Amino acid sequence: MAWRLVDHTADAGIEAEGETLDEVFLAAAEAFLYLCTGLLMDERELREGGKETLALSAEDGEELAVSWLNELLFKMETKSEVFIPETLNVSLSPPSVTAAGRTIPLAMDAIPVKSATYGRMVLRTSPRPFLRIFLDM
Amino acid sequence: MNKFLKRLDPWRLMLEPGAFPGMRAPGMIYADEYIESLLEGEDVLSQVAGVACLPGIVGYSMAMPDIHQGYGFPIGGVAAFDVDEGVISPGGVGYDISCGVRLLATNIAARDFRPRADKALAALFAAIPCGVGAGKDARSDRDLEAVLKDGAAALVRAGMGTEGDLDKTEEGGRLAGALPDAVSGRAKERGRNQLGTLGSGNHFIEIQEVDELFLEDQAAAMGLKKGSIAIMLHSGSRGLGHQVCDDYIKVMGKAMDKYKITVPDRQLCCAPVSSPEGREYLGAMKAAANFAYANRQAMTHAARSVFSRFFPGEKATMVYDVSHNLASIETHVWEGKKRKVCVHRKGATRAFNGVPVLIPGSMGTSSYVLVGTEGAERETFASSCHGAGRVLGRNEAIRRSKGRNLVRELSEMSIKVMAKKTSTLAEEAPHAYKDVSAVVEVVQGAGLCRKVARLLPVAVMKG
Repeated sequence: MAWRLVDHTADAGIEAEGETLDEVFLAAAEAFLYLCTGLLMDERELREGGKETLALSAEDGEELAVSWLNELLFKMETKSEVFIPETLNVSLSPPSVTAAGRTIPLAMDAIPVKSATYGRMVLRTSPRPFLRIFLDM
Repeated sequence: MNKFLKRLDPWRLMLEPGAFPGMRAPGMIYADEYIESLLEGEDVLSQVAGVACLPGIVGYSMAMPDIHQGYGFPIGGVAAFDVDEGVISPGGVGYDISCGVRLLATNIAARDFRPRADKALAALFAAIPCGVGAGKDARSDRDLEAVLKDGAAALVRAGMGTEGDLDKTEEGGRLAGALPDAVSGRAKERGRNQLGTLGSGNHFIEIQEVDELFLEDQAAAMGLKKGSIAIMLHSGSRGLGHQVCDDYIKVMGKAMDKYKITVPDRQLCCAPVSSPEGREYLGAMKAAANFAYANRQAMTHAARSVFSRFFPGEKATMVYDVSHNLASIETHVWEGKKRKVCVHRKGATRAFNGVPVLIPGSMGTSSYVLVGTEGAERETFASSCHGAGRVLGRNEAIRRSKGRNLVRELSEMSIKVMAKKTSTLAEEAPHAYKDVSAVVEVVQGAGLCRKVARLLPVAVMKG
């Protein structure tokens, strides 16, 4: 499982890869939370928290990727909470994510991300699962 | 794709329809040689071409000189679609619906302000929250509905401004036909405690000195005096608008099958302007725009309160407030015929003849007040640029800022800066942007706008 940030003139992109889509979505979440909070998931500020499960579905895989990251953003914006996913179950038929993890309160001054977008997105399952997604900052 | 780019004159480049399969119209890019040189390596030409593939496009897929890569539509993009045969696209407006600029004029001399700049900037920082969910008070359902329906007027009714503010806001600070019920509960939840917040990224409040007047009569009519202080705000519809865009991209994605529309990039998803989906999006977009006008009004109220503490009696009067991310149903004459069109301006400013156009620079450079012209009405569906336009991605801007103390550099230029995060300063450093003066020269050279005044930064607040 790995992720890296990709340049975009206005904004930022994430590339995530792994052995499975579960790992890809987990890596994308880690990169996304880093962009939103400046913190990595194993940093001290993000270690504690209550258990929570998130579940969402979508029309297709691309919408699922956008909805997954935007769900994390929604929790940050409306609850001042960060959901740290630990285990994910991602399916494309039908498209759904079930994520178990921890929710921790985190005071945030300003989250720089407006939304995950569909622009130039790449989501593939083979030969190695991969996601490239750009964020409106 | 560059081989399909043909220079027409010093200010215009045409992207011929052969550049991309499915183009229904040529592209028109307003660019001199400097701007053209910055198009290299950009994905923007394919984005200009992609917009030209959308059904019902009238004239050209246009791009202003602050053009740079966006999502689906380029930033700086302008496209008009026939209301009967054409489409409306949430991606053509963008996530930050009605992101825009407001300018206030004061009677304060810059030489009187500078000694108090540090304290005034700190007071602004304390009075105006930057961040997500940082608004002082969550709005009740009723208050939020009033804002979505009536925009800045709802705040003026509550004593947070004057009728004069509304007179100097595009469309009176209230887009008629807003549909608050078309805004999802999720969007309302995101917006509930964000009214009066600045946001982050390229949003700012800047205290500026009116440095040069190009059209003295016009500047005087706007209340701008050489050597005086002006206040510029740049913000939008915050999380509420972001969610409206996200919601309706999903709606349009489904609707495209129904209307047999195909697009080269999913972010361009759209539906006929006259369809139920198109009308509902337009109503929700207007509600989000009303939230944005109200957001800038709330920050204006807070900024006036701060300024009146430092300069008792100062009223800080409105020069203008204008959006640069919006779709608007307008009637224009195109090729001698009146056409009712849905004009998408994504990172572009409406520029009706004689009406102010506000062009912020980057935090170390000038900003401009322009006015639209008949040329813009004739040629660009009354549209102009919206800013300097980025040349560097955020990561690259941060890399190039490493080892530099931007606060000190700006301070040496007599510009005070405060930001919630130092990374924001690096991302938004002046070297991340085009030369705003060059951008403005293009729109003036092409006859789309005329320069009225140039403003220099004195103190900058960033999220």
